[in-house]
Amino acid sequence: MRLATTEDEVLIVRFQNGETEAFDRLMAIHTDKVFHLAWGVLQNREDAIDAAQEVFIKLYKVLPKFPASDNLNAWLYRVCLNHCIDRKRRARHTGVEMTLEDWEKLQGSEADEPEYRACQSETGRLIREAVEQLPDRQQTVFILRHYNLLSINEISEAMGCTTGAVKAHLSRATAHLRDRLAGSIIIRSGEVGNHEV
Amino acid sequence: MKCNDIRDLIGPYLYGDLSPEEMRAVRTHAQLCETCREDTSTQGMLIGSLGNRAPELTDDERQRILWSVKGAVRAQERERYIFGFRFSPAYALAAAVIIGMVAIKVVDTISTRQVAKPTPGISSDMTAKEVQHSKPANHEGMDREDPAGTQEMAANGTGGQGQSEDGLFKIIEGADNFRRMWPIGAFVDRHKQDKPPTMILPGLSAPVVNPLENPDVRMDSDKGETRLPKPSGPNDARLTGSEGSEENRSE
Repeated sequence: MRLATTEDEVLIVRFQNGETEAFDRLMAIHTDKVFHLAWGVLQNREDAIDAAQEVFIKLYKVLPKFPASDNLNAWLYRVCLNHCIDRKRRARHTGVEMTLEDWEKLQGSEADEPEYRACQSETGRLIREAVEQLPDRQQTVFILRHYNLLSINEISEAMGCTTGAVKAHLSRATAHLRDRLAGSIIIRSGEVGNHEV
Repeated sequence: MKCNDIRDLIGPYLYGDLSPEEMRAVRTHAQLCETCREDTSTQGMLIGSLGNRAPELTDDERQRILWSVKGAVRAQERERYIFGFRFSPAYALAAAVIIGMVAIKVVDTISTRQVAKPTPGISSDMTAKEVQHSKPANHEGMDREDPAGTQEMAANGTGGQGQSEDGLFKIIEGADNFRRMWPIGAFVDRHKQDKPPTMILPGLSAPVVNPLENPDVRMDSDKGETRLPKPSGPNDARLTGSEGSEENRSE
């Protein structure tokens, strides 16, 4: 029998042996990463928190039979990404896609932060619009990577593709952004300060 | 490396996600190729101009996620337990099968017992009092409610020790309802003169005869007992109305 080596494996085995506290520890380890991934796709804080909750509820259901040797990170990312993409798709179909004003209102505590206020400028709006117009996968990869939310390996685990494909998505995303913003003050002057996407 | 290969690496190059060899290759190519150099430069300028402050969860939000998940999990666990038993499809199926089998058995038993059979313990010669004595003690309440029905049962030779209390109640109640609906005197007259109706109540194998209006029933006023008519044959108690009347006519 293979011995548990990673902390995830140890915790999964402990949970399967009846120690429910092990689940709390698993959540403490993975909550931030799952939230970041959800935020990267949904770009809304509250939605991302809801998505993280859903992912961990699903994890609790499958954990009693989850093979300890499997990659829990990959499973969490995959489930989270699918959940967020479904959610985004439903929002599009039901016509509740957020306007820029809604998006700004729903940012919650971020609205008080200096970066966010800077983001409200014309330049920030242009950047955000350009990012939102990226194809879904490029947009997700770009946001996850740009905010240092996940590494290339983690993104590839989440998206179920190779690291090479992730790198290609990232390159195309930056190239698209450059093309879209080619005439804007960002590229022209190169002196615009830090702007949130 | 060609330009197409380099273009797919500019993004990760700017974020430092390439291996040292790949980083060196991109840098070398960009020095030689003006187009790729410009691409790298403008994209780097763009990325550098964008803020990259990642949204962080606050401690409150972390706690919120944790407790929401725990609450949802607990609610699901509660739903899975019904009356202290863990609910699962297998248990539900087993319970449904058991309930079904019990229901079939109960229906079968009731329908079997409603077909009247002469009971060895009760003969048509017995008085109603004797019938009462021959029954178990728990039938007393029933007798208080409908003594006439019990006498009728004894006269017809139905009932017995194996009869369930519910079954007896139903039979007696049915007989009472029938008596209320039909003028029993006219029924008895017709029974004696013409070919009697062969109507048999559910649960009774012989037509209902009111012992008080039947001239064959003698009342022993001294003893306060009702003496039932003696059967004309050994199987008289089991005969239907038509068979009994034919025998009477032949006599």
